[in-house]
Amino acid sequence: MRWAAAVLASGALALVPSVSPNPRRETSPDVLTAAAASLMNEARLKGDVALYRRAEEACDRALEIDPAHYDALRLRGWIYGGEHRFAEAAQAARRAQAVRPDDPFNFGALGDALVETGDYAGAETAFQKMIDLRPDSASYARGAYFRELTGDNDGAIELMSRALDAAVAAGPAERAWYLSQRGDLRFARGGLSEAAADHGAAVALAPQAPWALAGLARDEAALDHDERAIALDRRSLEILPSPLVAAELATLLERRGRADEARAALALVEATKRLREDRQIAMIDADRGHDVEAALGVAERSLVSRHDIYGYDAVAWCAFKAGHLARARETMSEALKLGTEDARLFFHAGMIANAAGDRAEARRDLAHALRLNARFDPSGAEVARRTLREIS
Amino acid sequence: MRMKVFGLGLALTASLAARAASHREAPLMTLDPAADITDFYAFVSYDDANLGRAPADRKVTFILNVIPGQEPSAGPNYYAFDDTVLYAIHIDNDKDGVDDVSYEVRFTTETVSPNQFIATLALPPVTALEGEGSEGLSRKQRYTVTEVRPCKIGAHCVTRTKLFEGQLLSAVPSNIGPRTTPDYEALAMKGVFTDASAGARVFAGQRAETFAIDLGAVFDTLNLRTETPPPPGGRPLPVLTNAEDADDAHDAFGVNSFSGFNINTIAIEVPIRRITKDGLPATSANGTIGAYATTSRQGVSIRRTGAASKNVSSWKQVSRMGNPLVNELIIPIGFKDLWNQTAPEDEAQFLPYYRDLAVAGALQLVSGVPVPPNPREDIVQLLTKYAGQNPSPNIGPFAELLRLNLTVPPTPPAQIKRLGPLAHDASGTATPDGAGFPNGRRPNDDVTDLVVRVAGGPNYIANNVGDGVNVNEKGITPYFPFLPEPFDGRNRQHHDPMEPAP
Repeated sequence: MRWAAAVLASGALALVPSVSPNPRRETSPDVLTAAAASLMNEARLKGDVALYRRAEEACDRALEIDPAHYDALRLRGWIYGGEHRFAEAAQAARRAQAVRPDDPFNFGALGDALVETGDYAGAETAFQKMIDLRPDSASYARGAYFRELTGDNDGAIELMSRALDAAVAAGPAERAWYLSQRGDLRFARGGLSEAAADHGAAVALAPQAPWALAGLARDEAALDHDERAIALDRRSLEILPSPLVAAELATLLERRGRADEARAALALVEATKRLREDRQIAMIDADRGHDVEAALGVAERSLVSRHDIYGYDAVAWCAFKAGHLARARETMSEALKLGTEDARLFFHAGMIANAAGDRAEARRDLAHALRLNARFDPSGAEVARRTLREIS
Repeated sequence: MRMKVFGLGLALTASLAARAASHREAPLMTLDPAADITDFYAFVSYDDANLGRAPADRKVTFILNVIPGQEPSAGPNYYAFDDTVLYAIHIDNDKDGVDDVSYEVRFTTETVSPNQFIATLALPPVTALEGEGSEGLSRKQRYTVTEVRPCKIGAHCVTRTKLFEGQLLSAVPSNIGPRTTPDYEALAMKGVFTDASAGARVFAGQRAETFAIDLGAVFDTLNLRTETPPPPGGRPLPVLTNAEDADDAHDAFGVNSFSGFNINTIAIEVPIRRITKDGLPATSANGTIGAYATTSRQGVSIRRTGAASKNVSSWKQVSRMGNPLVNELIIPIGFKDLWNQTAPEDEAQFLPYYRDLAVAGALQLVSGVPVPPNPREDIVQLLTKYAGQNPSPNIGPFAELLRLNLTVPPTPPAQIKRLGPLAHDASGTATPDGAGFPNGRRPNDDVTDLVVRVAGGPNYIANNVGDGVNVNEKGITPYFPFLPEPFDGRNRQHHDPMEPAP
């Protein structure tokens, strides 16, 4: 009998992490690491960083008691990654690998950290090794993400479907996660109704999952069902106040002429900004032409430690909005180096090329963005279309 | 609504820091119930038909369980096998640890009515797996069974024989409740298929869990219950009196954590002659086999080149099981996936963990009662070697297999003893049942008590140490697939042994 799996499956840990004990009071490193793992799963599904902190605390306590506790050692790679401490995450995963070289867990944690810091060759090796060691939903999903980054969107959808199939007996929240991911991939290809079917199924399985609600909101907005999208964004924000979703909601409200409500939604973005730097919020500011020099500063500082393509994209877009065209051009080409087929990247590239006077490149990139998904976002797609008309 | 949303926004804490990457974060510690084998059984069939056969004509049953801890009421989707998994049962019939006969099962799911939100509905009540009476099944799973043997000549060549040819093998859906699946057992029996020429039977579908254990107590660092109220003089260890230990109908004091839960099972019965090395009836010369079950998934290369089929590589084993509890109690975290990938004949690399038996150390720590000293060659011998094999700790082959002496006649259900070779009567006199674990494993063998006693050694055997859970409430099922009718979703209960059964 697989006791651990049975305990988790019967709900003793995985389904009731909110009642997991106060980690400081527990003394068994096994219990502490089990609590940390269930907190991590919950954090991942809810996107709640406070839970990562609690998991870290439980894990640290386990290592105070037993500095060689392997399960706690390997968990750190996952926890640091969740907290966006990617260098530490990679280091922790490598340390755990030194103890147990064939544990697929560490290859997953390492690959996740390397993707986020822009070491794509290293990430590919790690993810391939993870799949080789254990083909399952977790490793297939990482393969799908890598395919997406390298421009193989069809292959990514195929592999995410495989991940979903392999999760046939997993819990509803897990299944919803793979469905929602596949929905995102289908949205990126412009398959709006297919994307809505996936996100809708995800919402049916996990009505409290903020990412499924926000994903469905994006599909509905693209299908011009604005009121449905607004309601879904609001539900998502009630569960998790994400600045990105708040900004998407604000854009929809503005489109409906509800400026007061849009301003209220944007208050969340501003309040988050006061707490910490975040390149995602910098992108929201850049999109809105708001505080663009400050936003560029945030994006540049983020790029110091992370050289992933979205880090370059953030700098490029903020630099473009702040009028630093040379910087925008050089970083944009870095953002496109993997061949990622993401409409927003090509929208940014096209706008930057246009500003630099390279009309042919601008036409090509903007048309490509719209070909990938003519409704990639409520405001950007309109700007892309208008600009393309102006320069054609 | 609006105030609520932005009220939250004003009460900002660091916790709202949902960052982009968090949305992309895939699970790392994934539960994989469809591919994780939770139990594997191998025994000479003990139904009336087989008990009545001459020994030369007897049959053997293998059972592979997945998806444990199924809450029977888990609508709307209930439980299904995984189309991406290759489920297999393997037999070594010449004591070298290497597969000689394997049975491979693969599923294909067809969604018949994609708009039906609930997997199974009474439209009308479901009384058949296919055709009339199956209208309420929105999802149908069918499967194939293939027998695989190495070629007579050529090391890497196998012959594959499809069994049950010409039949549509349908998996039996979950037991929903009396309105939707009104005569569930009759429906389930429609999922027992016979291949007359091979003499084989197969079943795939939901059944009730027979594995009974006080999981809560075992997991609390072996904090086994000593029952309330304690008998005069108390119980220093979780020990059963001789009378309690001999009682295969009642739980002494433990709480069966799997009460009221279901599992998914694949059961195959074949003639013993079909799997012996010489194709002859079992004798002392050819009659002991080693068996295990595996699940595999296909490898994939991340970077695609050309045709889709080129990017899917061969099957990679993700789970295996021979003896119960080896993966749980012997193999350390971080090696479990490697162990699961490894073929049983390559077990030698893991022998240090058998010899330094951590669970025995835990027993001694918790109870204060001494266990045999390391290295535990008795454990190595029991789990990785055949009886009569060279006992030297340095001489193999070492292969972790569930070993079954097919010449031992099956025990009739009424006389089956949960403690097998350690069974005794109420006065403590030995009444061994040689047809049970560790000679193969039957669904109702009490592997928890047996493993605790074998790991703990003579002191623990003499004291009848156990978890106090002797039975599951469904008892022994005397017919194929030898696992009980599953609990139905509407009327399921999870009850403690002291409570009256529903």
